[in-house]
Amino acid sequence: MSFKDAVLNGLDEFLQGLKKAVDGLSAEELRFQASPTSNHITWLVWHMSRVEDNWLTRVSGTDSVWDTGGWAEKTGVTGEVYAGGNNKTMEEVSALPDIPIATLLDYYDAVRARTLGVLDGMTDADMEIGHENPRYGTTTNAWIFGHIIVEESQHLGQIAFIRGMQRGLGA
Amino acid sequence: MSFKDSVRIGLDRNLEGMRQVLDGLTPEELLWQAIPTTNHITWILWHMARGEDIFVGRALDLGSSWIDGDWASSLRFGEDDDDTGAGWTIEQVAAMPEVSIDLLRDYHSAGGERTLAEFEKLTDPDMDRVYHPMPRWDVTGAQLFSIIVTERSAHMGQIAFSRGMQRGLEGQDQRAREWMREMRRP
Repeated sequence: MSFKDAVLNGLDEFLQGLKKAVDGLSAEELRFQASPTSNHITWLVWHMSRVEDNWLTRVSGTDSVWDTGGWAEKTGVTGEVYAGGNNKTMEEVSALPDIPIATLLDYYDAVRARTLGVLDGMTDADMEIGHENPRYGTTTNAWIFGHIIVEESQHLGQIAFIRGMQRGLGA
Repeated sequence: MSFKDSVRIGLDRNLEGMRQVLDGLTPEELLWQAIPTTNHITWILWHMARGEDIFVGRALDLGSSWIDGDWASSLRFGEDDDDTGAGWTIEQVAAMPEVSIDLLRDYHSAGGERTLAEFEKLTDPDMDRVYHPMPRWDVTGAQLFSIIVTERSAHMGQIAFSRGMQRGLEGQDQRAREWMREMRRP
């Protein structure tokens, strides 16, 4: 084992936790917005899956899973405002198409399979390779993988919180 | 650089992110519960700090900073060293003893810094070692640190969510505000 296994564990704990956190939720529960400025669970899952896909597209230099797998058509998310995996306004959050959670999780599994394939071929030496990013400047592979685990886990905590708000304790 | 840097970045990001997400929050905001069955920010922060103290401290045989480091008495909390808040009832959360948020943040940071310092000493083979953070719970080194990063991040996300519910989009922490400004640029 090595520190690479800690990274792999973190990614896996997140995805297994996500599947548990959304298990059994109704369509209404998945779209519940706790306040006018709160995201709903469907938006959070869509956003995280798109972001991991985008980062690994940058890391690997290959096309996105979103494009190669035809996921815009499969999910119905074809609007230009959603193209980057994020959007600007709460109106857009509320207007995100009603993507079935099973479809979103299928997309996430496809994204994650690509992520693991890329990681499989990486060694410590690859961690210092840098990529230009308009928002973050130059980001190394090391930073990217640490960042992905932190950001995804933050959003998973939020999903658990939103689920708890609706179902109470022992949710 | 190496995969060790990725894990370190996860540990660092938690500490820096916590400073930002708590920035400027009032005493009322820190104790706000959206509904009675949601935790408030103060409870989440205390729970995170206790969890890390116990999980890391016992796994790496570091002793209890809650007791030996006098944090329990500084924070005027009970000295039950096993209590992380897990399993607390709604009534217990609502009746949480009043704590100094500055001291609580110091306790949380001290725990995080201790985790980082211990992490620096480790090498790849340590990721295969088996540690015992709690009775009947064994983890490898790789799991020990991945759990710390994912669990702390999850709770930090909840604090950010509670902040966002209370302050809306304009009340976000500085990093989020800068990001929103960039997103809105034509």
